[in-house]
Amino acid sequence: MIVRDYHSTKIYGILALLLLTLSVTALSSGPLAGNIISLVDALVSEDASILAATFWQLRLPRVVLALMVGSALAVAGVTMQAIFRNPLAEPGLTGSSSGAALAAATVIVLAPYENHAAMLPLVAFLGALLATLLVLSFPVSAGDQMASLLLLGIAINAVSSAGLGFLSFVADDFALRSLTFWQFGSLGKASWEDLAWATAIASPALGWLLCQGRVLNGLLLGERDAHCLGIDVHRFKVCALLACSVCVGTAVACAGIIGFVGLVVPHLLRLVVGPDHTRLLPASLLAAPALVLAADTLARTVVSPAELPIGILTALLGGPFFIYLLLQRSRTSA
Amino acid sequence: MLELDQVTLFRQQRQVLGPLSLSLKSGQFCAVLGANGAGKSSLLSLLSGLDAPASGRLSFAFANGRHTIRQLAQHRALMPQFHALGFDFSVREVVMLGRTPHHGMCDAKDHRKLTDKALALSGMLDFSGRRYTRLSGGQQARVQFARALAQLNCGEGGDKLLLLDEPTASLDLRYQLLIMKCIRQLCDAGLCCVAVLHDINLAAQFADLIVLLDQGKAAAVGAPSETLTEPLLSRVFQLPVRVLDNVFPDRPMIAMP
Repeated sequence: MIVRDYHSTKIYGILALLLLTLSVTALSSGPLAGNIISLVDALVSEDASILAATFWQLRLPRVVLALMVGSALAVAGVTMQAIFRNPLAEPGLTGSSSGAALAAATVIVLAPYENHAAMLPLVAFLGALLATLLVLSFPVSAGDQMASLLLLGIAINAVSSAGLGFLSFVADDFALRSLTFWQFGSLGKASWEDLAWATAIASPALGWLLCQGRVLNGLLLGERDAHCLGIDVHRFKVCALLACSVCVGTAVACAGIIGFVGLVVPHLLRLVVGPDHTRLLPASLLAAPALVLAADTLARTVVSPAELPIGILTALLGGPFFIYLLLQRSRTSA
Repeated sequence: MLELDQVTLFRQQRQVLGPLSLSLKSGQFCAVLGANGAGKSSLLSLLSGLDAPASGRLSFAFANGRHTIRQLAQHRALMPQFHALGFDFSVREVVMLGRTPHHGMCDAKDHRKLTDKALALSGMLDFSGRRYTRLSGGQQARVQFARALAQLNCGEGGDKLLLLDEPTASLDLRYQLLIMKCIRQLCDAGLCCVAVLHDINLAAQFADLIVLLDQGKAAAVGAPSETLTEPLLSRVFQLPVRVLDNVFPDRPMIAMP
């Protein structure tokens, strides 16, 4: 009996079309919306219009950031789930996203009125990397390494959450608004300058992770079997966790913590393309940016001209889905 | 193919294996027997490179000292004792994982051909589209056996070492026989196999060489007729054992009174 036949090419096509449609929708919607024709008119016209400036300076970088953040989070999520052999693992499991947010929040609260727009992403990125290095440098025996990494990640996440809570408590109103950005995420601060450095840093890590599908498949058999398949498990894990940390750190540095994307997208895609990482990784590269774009377009249009933090929307979508997954799991094991 | 010279293995400052010496040639089928905790799986851990010997010398015909883990994996495969897999792969996908160390060395058609051959040898070809997690324990064991075969090009190409940790433990009688016959045929064609077994009669029927382990040390190493004797087996398993020489003409049969 044949259970599944994956039409990967067709699925990639559908996902690419969805991403394209959402990108065009995002580019042509907003307070200055008009329609796609007036946008094209403004872009081809030689006169500098507000709509054209909005497109080049606000909407396009925002869409590109959504693509970058979505891909980084989903590819890191897929990798984490394979390394920990747990479909409930998420990209920030080793403390990278909360470490980034804590580092940024510390700067915001200690110097609330400074102009630290240029410095914050760098601080956040370093916070993410530091948290992961802390987890990786902890001496653990080889036998229970994964459980120890997981527990250390949980501990670092807990300490970071406590730190963020304390900083929110002592912050003044002005700093509190900035903190909300890091805790719930927003693509509103997208700029070409940030995109340039973020892409330069995240692309090599992302590109390397995308080529590791076969190794991740092997890891799912367990570390001993993966070793017997010719995989240098320890070295790969260190490299992959650092690459994930770079991806997550860059995403958080540019857009704050956007929850559930890295958890939900791999799950949804496994239902469609199966668990093979050579298909899952490219599919997540298309699907996650689509989800982030959809959530961001909703976030900036439903309460326009104000803007909802995007993390609230992704969590709102992801939370119920997570409960559904847990119910499915308990039903399967029963 | 394989040479162990006074090899020892320690875990948490406790010696779990050795000193053990053993020499295996291509085409030999070696069965490792012994009571629970005698060091059988530890021996497989050593041979599969998961553990390094504390002392002594361990050498393989296919390893030249400058080999990578991947190059070793092209010549040596381990079928584990436990077969759990958390993600919902199909049977074919699991067997294809065995082709991981050969990626880029042959085209997709050859990978598929060898995967099909491995599935056929383990009697799982008709199940190739089924989900692995929905199979019974015995079927999963056969899939893992097929994966190990796929990793070794189904024995083609020479210098292949197959390591099996209780391959027949969860199989019914028919498939115990099928798998053992398959191993025997592959060994006759040049493969070298080391299998941890609990069924002494299967070992007596199919193996060329028996390693009888007792508290980490070799109680006996040799042909089935030399090693499977009443005093040795009774001592190793701490149980009165009868060896019947008159049931089969060329091999002993072991019974418990």
